[in-house]
Amino acid sequence: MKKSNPIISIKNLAKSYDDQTHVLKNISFDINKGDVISVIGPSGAGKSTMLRCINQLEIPSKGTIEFHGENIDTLNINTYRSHVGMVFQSFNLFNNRSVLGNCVLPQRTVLKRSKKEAEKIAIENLNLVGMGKRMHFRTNNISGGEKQRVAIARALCMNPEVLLFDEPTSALDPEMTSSVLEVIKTLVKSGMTMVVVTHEMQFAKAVANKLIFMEHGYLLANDTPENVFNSCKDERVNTFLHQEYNIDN
Amino acid sequence: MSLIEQIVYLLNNYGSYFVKGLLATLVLAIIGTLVGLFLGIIFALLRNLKINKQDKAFVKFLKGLGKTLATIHIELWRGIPMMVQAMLVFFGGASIGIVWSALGFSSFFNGYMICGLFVITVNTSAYMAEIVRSGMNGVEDGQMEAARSLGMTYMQTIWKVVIPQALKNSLPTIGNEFIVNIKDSSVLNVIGLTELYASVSAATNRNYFQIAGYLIVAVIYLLLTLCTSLIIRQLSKEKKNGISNPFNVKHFDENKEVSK
Repeated sequence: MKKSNPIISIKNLAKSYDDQTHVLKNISFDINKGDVISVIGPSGAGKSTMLRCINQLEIPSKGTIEFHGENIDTLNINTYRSHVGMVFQSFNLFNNRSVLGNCVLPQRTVLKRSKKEAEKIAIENLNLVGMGKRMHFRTNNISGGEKQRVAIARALCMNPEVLLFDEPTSALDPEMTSSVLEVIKTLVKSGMTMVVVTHEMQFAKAVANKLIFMEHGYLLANDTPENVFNSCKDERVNTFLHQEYNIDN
Repeated sequence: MSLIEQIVYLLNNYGSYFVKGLLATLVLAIIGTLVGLFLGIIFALLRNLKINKQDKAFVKFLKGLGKTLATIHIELWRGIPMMVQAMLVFFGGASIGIVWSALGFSSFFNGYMICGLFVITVNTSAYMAEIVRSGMNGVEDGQMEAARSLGMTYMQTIWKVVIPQALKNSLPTIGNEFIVNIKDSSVLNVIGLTELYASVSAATNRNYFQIAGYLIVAVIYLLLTLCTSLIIRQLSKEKKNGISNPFNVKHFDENKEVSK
């Protein structure tokens, strides 16, 4: 695959169900190397659907997604997905595997790594998220925050170029939320490219270099957090930030 | 002769009949359940195929065909009594050139046994397909999505993530199916297969100790089903204990599983 910026380019993306329910309308933006993009907006805005379209868990109705300049429709979907990791709100750890097994299985099946190599990489990433000591635990026996950290380690084991986070802390209490956010901050420091759908406004403000605001399937703002928070001209964005998060321009 | 004496007489003189019958019943139930389960998984997968809008016409046709064939197979073999199926396969075989009674690889795996195995396996596969399908439907969609989002193919996800969980969900029902097979294999005596039930007639046709004979096999059937229930219960319990005992590190070490 030829290397060029941006890593992922989304052009005029639209998604509708039954040709009547339009969830995404004409979304366009680029994900460049090292970008940390926070996606915010009210529930039902289409934020998750957009992430799922990027990972091809949902097939867009219109528009194109390019990976290093190549339309992903022309690429092997599974190879593409292994480059674009995804972390879900509900963790989705494999219930029939241990913590270590969760990190090893995709490496063995997709990247065809040897058992030894896969385990070594899995342990490195589990240590990175602070779950090394619990690698032999069943997934039922760890807390929500720990599950999410394992899910992040599992995604990291595939050496993704981009990580997509779909409300990674929405199902967690404040203490667990902070443990997961700490892990994400570590990844930001290491230069990982990521798109984070979140309601954690302080987090979005602190770590993101781009902030996307969505509502009713439209992308209403795509700028630096400072510009969106302080000088966004869109009235709806300002009202939302003011009402929902008490952030006053 | 009292009933007890009749039982002792039968066990002393015709014990080998019962042992052979028991062996045949066990072979029918074990092979029928295991191979039936494997075929059932395949039929469950076929019946669960989802036809997507974006599929090409040929793929849509193949998926539709697989789904229809699986549905027909399941409804056909579940809807007709096994005794009737056994007669149809046995006598129907002759009309297409398979003379079951003439087949025989050994005295044990003779034509009757092969025909019986075929009937019980295919019949079980229909029930297993529905058991596995319901187990698969019980696995959260997120499991499939997570695996696919990591780049695993549909088949990798099915075999490594979904089916193991579906089987675990269905373990009690699969065990139940094994118990049903132990008992229902008795209907295969209609094609001349000498399993446990049929061994009574062989042992009592000269002495007329039918009550004693049927009491013996009743106890053997009961012992078999009770033992199976116990094993299934133990297996389910172990799974539960595993979940409630996070510090049993050895139990959770899945390195062996990982190396598969």
